[in-house]
Amino acid sequence: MVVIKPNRVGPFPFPKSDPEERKKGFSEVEQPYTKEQVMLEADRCLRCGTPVCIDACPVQLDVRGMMDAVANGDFQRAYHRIRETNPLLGVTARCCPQLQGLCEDACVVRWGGQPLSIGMVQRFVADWEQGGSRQPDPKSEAPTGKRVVVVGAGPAGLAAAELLLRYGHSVTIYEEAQSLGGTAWYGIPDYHLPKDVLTYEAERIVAQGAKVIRGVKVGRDISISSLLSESDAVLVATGSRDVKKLNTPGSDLDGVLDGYEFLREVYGAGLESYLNGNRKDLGSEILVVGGGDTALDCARTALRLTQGHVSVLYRRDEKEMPADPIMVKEAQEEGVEFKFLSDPSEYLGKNGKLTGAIVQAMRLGAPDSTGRKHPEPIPGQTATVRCDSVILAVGRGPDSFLAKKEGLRTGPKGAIAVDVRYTTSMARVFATGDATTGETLVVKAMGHGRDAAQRVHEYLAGLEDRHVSLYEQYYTKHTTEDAYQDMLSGREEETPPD
Amino acid sequence: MEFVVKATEGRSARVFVEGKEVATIGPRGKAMFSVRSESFGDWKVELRDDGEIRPFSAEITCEGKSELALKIRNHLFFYKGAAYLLTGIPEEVRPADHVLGKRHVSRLDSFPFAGLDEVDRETWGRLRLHRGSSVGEVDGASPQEFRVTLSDELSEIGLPLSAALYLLYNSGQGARGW
Ligand SMILES: Cc1cc2nc3c(=O)[nH]c(=O)nc-3n(C[C@H](O)[C@H](O)[C@H](O)COP(=O)(O)OP(=O)(O)OC[C@H]3O[C@@H](n4cnc5c(N)ncnc54)[C@H](O)[C@@H]3O)c2cc1C
Ligand code: SF4
Repeated sequence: MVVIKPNRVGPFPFPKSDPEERKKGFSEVEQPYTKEQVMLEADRCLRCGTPVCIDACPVQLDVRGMMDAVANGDFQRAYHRIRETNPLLGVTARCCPQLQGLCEDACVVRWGGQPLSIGMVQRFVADWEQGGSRQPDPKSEAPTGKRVVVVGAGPAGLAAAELLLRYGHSVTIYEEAQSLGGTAWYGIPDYHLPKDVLTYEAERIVAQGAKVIRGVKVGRDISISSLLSESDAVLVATGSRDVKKLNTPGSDLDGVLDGYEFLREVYGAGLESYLNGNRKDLGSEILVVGGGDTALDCARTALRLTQGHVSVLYRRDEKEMPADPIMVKEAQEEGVEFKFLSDPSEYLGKNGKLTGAIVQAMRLGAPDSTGRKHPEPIPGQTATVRCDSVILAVGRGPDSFLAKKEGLRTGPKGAIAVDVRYTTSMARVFATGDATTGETLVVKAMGHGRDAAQRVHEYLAGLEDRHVSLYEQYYTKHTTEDAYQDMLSGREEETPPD
Repeated sequence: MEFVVKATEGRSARVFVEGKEVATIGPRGKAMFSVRSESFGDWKVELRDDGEIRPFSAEITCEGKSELALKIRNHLFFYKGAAYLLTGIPEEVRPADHVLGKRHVSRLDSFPFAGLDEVDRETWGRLRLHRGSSVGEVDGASPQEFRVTLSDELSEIGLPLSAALYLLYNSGQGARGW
């Protein structure tokens, strides 16, 4: 009979800095484990024979192998177990909502207590490596002479590039921005993801042999056909950008901001540069409109910039809110106020400048075409509130610029249409990541990127008819009795390519 | 009806209803398991979707029949015209309360698709936003003991569904066993 140690080491879900202190700046909220703590936490792992935590990870991170190595104090082995399938290990350790449908949600220890703190253990190992215990990159196969262009250096493009390099293909990445990391760079605030972690891991991928051409927008500065003339395949990973436009009266007033542009302005050129440059005057009374993680990021960023009063207005109720409840709790600890079933129906202004909003009370009605309960106004129930800024964070769809410009076939909401092989309507052009799905998560975009890279590799190697998914390769190699015994004796085999 | 699945060795298990053993689960090939029961019939559970081994996906057939009784893809399945989500968060549960303990089988009454092949890529990535009502619970005292309680609407497939839930969501101590 297995004995479960039911409680995590330290507080659940993880140790955090003091809310009153942390909201004064942008330092990290999540606090790392010590070496002793991380070894104790990893030792709670049951080393399951068929680890469902790995099934739940979009990049099949070898959680079990990592836990076993860390429990034994072997951080080097742990690093290589993670790095095998996850080149953005410090990033995902911090950004993944592990308890929301990912590894920690799946961990069987939840049946008898608190699931393993997989993210915290992974984070420790990533920080250990980055903090001076540099490890070699995974091995690559011999050069194939095949050339692939990847468009977009977000998590999907970077993860795809990394796998293609390991298969021995030559990779050139075209990126419109100067920084690497895509939305993770400008969207995820520094108190959640310090950018030195992202830069370090993105640059490590580049150092594996990718050529990066920055500041070039494909479709405007160079066409896909030109890219095809210099390569064997093109993989488009341009992410999400098309912001949903609301036609609330007064949206054009000075002081009504788009949330994505707001975050891009604060973090896009680096936080320090924003803090030391021309900072926007947000005032002291700020309304954020939306119910997703972006709304929380805008609210907590605005709070840190102003020390003012920040409210999040969401038109559905708390239970329907898509934001990670752990992030909601963090925001509440910092003093962000949540007003559910509330939706601005008009923004008020004086001389073109925002002064307030009329907030409509809502209730949930019958489900709409999305299958979710539709919020509808309660007649006659409105309130007028004063505010200096409104930040709109109401979701966005795939970036349609390139598809429109180049005539790539699109599906619902302008997502680039791909089949199971990740091929688009244009020969030799593949697409992946949020550009094909709409906004997801860093790790899901990476999983898509790796799956698409596998398909590109099979296409280049003439193996299309012998496709084996990365999950099936993992399952075949790692869940046998032999592999289990190898893991227990610290000799896990490498996942492909090896 | 409550099915209690108790792991024995590897991925094998015994299934109990009201304290009485009613079925066994055992490996029969790569990603393939047999569920044998005198009272509920014999079933084959393959952890595949259209031939490919995929996480949280399974194809269930009643022995002796060629057509599929149930196909689970990425936690979702359709049965008698309704959509069901395994391990989602039903409407009555606050997401913040869902991070620990038991999990649910929800019927998605307003799901806007009528079959697995219709579901678009965006919806696959956001399945958990579809809440639905709870028609089953999955709980366990430990990884070795797994309890599946299903409402009557799922009773005809209760045994193979419980077996699939055990094989997909309870990793247990043994390797997959093939
Ligand atoms: C505010 C916010 C907060 C988020 N927080 C989290 C979080 O905490 N955890 C989490 O897991 N996920 C989070 N996400 C989601 C996550 O960031 C995305 O799902 C992920 O970055 C998508 O990866 P991608 O590579 O598909 O696209 P992107 O990251 O968007 O990358 C696309 C890249 O392509 C480039 N590009 C676009 N068009 C062109 C072109 N024509 N030519 C050249 N380059 C081009 C872009 O500049 C960009 O670098 C958040 C998203 C937002 C908006
Ligand atoms: S499911 Fe939990 S206990 Fe089992 S291997 Fe994964 S982390 Fe360890």
